[in-house]
Amino acid sequence: MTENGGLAILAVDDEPRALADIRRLLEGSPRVDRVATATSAKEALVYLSGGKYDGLLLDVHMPEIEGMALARLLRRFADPPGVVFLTGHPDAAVEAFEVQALDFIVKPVSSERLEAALERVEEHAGRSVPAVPAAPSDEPAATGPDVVAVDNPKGGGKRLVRLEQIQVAQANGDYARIHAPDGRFLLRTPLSQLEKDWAPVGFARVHRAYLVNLGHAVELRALPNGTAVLVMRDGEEIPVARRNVAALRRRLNA
Amino acid sequence: MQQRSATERAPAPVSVHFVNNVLAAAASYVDDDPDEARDVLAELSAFLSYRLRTEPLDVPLAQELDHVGVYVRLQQARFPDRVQAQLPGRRDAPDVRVLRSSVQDPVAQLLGGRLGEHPGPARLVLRALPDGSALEADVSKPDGGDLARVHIPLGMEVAPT
Repeated sequence: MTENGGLAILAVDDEPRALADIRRLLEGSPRVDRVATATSAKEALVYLSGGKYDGLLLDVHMPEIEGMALARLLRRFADPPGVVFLTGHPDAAVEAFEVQALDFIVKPVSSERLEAALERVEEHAGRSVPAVPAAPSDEPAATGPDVVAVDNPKGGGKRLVRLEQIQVAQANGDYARIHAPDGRFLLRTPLSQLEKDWAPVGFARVHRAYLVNLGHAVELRALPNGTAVLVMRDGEEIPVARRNVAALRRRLNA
Repeated sequence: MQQRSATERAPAPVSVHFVNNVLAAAASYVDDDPDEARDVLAELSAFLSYRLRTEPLDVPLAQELDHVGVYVRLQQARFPDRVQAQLPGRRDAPDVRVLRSSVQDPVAQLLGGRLGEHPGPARLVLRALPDGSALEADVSKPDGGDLARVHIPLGMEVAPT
């Protein structure tokens, strides 16, 4: 694990686009602090010899040294990373478990499926994260700052907003627009970074464009098309992407 | 003309591995190049529509070459810097009918095998022989090294079953 307590993950795939997709998903995960990528088993060995990784996301079929061969080699390491196979070959699952892989994911990977695999990596690394994050309280969060500095639309400069007062952060290009009781403010931080920073204090990504403070949510309303809306205390309705509905329902025990 | 029964000439099954990896590539474009993501999905749709159809058994060579082009573009979406291709245009295609996927299958075996087994770029050249009796597909390094070739006879008829 990294100094921040998150996972260090090395993803290996000879297909550059698939690797870019995995990298994007990993960088958006609140469980992950550090991501490295390699396009071959040889390159992966260079990374592994130069640093500690909690998890290895490994394509099964690659030129020269295949993923399965690399996994077998890693079993000789004193403290090997947990291996999760990524593949377009569903039939390789049996072999994957013979080399004691933690998980086996068929591409393309959904973020929910990836999170389940990362949870196994966390367990393997000896770290357990509560399924439901602590609800925001009046006490400052122990794991991060309890205020953020936002652009002050009146007169310029910065204005401080307490995290617990923020209901929603909405993607706004490379920045985020936060919804607070006394207005909406621009925060010069990408939503993906806020998702990582604020997950410990009860924020959840419910949609590509929305990060929500679950302490302000009062109702999860399912829609016929499989998506949902999250109703906030002030009546604002936040869209929930289809792929996030099940996980959100579990977190809210809804 | 050679003849084969319809059961002998069935196209190879669509590779789940290929489809999953194309979808993974499409997913990777969604955020940074949505138009490309859409194009990859449209090409995959065209590829599957052609491959999953069972009738007619034979098609004009020009149509089969279009299908080969779709396959190559899907491989280029997976490996943007690794696949170079030179395919005959419709005008260069002999005016014959061929069995569905009878060109794309061997090309896929040749190109897919190269990409899966060897790192680095690969160049595919597909051309018609001057007498129009066959196509030749070459896969090599861009400088012509490590050449592998497959000969694809044309003009097979489908025997009644």
